[in-house]
Amino acid sequence: MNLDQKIRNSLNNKILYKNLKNFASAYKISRKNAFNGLDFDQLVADLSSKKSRNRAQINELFELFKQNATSSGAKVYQATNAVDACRYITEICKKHNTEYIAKSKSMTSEEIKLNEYLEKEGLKPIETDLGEWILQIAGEHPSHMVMPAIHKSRQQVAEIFRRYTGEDIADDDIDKMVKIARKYLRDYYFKATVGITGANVAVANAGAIGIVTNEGNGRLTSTVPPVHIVLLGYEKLVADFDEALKVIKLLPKAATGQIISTYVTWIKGQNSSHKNPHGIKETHFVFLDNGRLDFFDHPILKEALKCIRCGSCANICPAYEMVGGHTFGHIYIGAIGSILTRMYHDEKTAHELLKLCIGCKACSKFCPAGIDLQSIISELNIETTEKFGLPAAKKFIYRKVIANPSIFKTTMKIGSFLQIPIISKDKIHLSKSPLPKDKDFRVLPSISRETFSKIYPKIDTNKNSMNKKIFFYPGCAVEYFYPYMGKALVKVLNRFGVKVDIPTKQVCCGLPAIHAGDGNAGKATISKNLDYMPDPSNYDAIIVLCPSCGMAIKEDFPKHMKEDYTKLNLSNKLSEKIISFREYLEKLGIDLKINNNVKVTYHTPCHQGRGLGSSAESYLKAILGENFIPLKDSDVCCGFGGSYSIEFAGISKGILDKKIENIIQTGADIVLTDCPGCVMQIEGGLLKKNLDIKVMHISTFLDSYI
Amino acid sequence: MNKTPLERFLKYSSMVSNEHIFLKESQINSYLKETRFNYINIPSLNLFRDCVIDENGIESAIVEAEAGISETGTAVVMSEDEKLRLATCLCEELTVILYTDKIFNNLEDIAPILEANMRKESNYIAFITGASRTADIERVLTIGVHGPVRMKVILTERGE
Ligand code: SF4
Ligand code: SF4
Repeated sequence: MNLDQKIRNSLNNKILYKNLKNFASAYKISRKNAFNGLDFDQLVADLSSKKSRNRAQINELFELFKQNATSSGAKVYQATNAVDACRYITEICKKHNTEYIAKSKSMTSEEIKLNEYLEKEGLKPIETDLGEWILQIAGEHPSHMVMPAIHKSRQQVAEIFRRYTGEDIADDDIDKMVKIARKYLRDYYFKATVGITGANVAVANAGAIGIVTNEGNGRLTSTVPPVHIVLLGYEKLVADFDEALKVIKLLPKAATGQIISTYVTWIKGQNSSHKNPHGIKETHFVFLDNGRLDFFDHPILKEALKCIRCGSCANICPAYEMVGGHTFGHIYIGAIGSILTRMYHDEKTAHELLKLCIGCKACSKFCPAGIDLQSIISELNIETTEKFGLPAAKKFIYRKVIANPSIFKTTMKIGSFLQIPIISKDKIHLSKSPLPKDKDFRVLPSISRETFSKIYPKIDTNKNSMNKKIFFYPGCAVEYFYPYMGKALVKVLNRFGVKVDIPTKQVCCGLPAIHAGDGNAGKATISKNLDYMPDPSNYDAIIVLCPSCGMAIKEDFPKHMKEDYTKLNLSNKLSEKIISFREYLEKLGIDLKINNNVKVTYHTPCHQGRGLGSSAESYLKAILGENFIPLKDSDVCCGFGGSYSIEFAGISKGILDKKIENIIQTGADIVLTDCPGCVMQIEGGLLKKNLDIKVMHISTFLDSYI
Repeated sequence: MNKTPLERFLKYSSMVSNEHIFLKESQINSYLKETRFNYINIPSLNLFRDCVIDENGIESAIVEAEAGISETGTAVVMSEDEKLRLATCLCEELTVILYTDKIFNNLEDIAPILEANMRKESNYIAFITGASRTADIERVLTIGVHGPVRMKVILTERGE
């Protein structure tokens, strides 16, 4: 099945939709409660800095672990790759003549496809984690790292169990299903001579491992069978128990919103085992390389080795929530999954998965290991796009059109003429979408007859009392679609004595090309853009109405100008001064009051909340008082993502529908936001659904109401 | 108002539906007589009872905790003894005796205990926070998937 088909199937899967939606909303609440009273950012910073290790440092920890773990006779094996690990484990199982092997959940064993290998060798591995067992007997793979069977309904599980056991199980009798699992799995622990577990941490200075489970299957697997094999990647190594407990403190809270998992089991060496003829357990630690060791020295991917496999980056990912792990994932799923797929599995598959990221940055913000997943995804996207290529049409657009301001301008001009027959009565929207039906879920804005740069000199300004000066970068959306938002900004700022300058030529910020994976076009565009940027020291601030442009200036400009010292210097200065319109108003400290009785809610744009770093919620609350109604999941993506909303229209629409559901619930008359992209998406969706709720950029709102 | 370690322990231990019993050390013996535990392992009071443990499991076990963690409601149980391990994994109801002077505030505070006990050639230490649970079917919380169905914590002060 290709990716498009997979996406379509997932989007049509009602059970998946319901389960993931319910989970996402419950998860956010329990996670928040679990972290209540703790300084999440501090905990993350601590763990992240501890886990910053290069290959030599990891090797040191490994040697220490080995020395301590082997003191009681446990064996430590270093497997170079998947086959090597599978072969070694199979040999041990065969040596002990075991028919059954009890397994407790291990993503590393999924990574090396251990079960498949063992089964081919005539062995019977039994997954003892309930979710994994359900999937094993159904012949499926996990769709989530922590909740493997999250895509299944109780009815489906009942059916799977009925077929497997022949017992009578009512469709919604979850208790009975769990009891059945208990009964069947209990036997296997005793039949198995070998138990296989993973490890969540491996403590070097003690030679001990820690395993986290809720069900207790890890305890049974490591206790009952006389042989215990621990399969783990080198990234699980930590220096000491202090570091190990930092992982334990964060992991369950981030994973499921639990304060702690029911069982945390610490094991060192070979413990007593009455079923072993020697009276003590035979223990093997199998350390898997599979490319990891080299990645510890990789400039970007080393970050991914900090991952503690909590699954947060899937739990909060709007794209994952729409399609699930069988589509947004290979073996590892979600944001980290697309990265790990590039590292351990197939680059071509990774290339496809990386494109599913809409760029909302929620994963980066929620990761307990402090991994900036979105940035890594963006870099890998550029890397794999270079290798596997961009469709010719896109390449043309990013390289020949957008990177060249004059051609871009002419193209938009032509577009503004071509659209005339389909312009709607309100003049600012299209009455008919130029897109095919399956991508037509919003009313699109029309290209403005006049660009912002054209309108700007005509804006009435009170020239007398300007005592401050800012530089406003409009970006393509304001320049070509929403000049009125820019006009509103100029008017509001002028009222408060702030002069507004703009670039002499409007050049794209480069983000669309970067997001599409065209790094070279992105770089060329940024370089061109900087030709028209002023020296920021002459200005009070550099201001944007589009936080995506803002984030590009803040992060991508310096990142992509490393080779050009002068432009890097300018980029750094711009990066320091870039803020949004609302942030600047707040900085000015002007006491605004809105005197009318409209009910207003606010959607936090991803690149505002997480990119530029603050949401306008508290500001709006202050100026609107009672009339401000908070929006549930305000900071969750609206599904826009630029060309993403065309390429993956189904996912984009699904995300938007949830946003609209929440908006309707507020009962507000106006939805405010501060990103033209979000306006395009949300307004387009509301219009398409014929809902009478207005969408406004904060600039336009303030211009109209103060 | 800041909670004492015991109060905080009770809060988080209650969150996982543990039952709490307050006993004086001197009452424990009679409690054991009333409640016929299949397996007993309380080193501080030198109280032990052994039994056969196979795939059928046992009804009840009572063991002593080495420490408690208040920020998570956790009992730290030294489990080097294989029988104790089996008993705590395979009993229907698990009771843990926790001396209140052994309740630590935070997870990090347990690091020295782990460190010291893991100096041995081999060891097995369990953090237990509630009964065995799963949410793998439609995220519905269900108790007793592999191990105990109920957990009780007896909180006791030393030498009374
Ligand atoms: S990358 Fe971060 S959020 Fe994702 S699973 Fe790993 S630790 Fe959790
Ligand atoms: S940036 Fe957003 S869409 Fe992309 S992987 Fe992270 S959470 Fe998902």
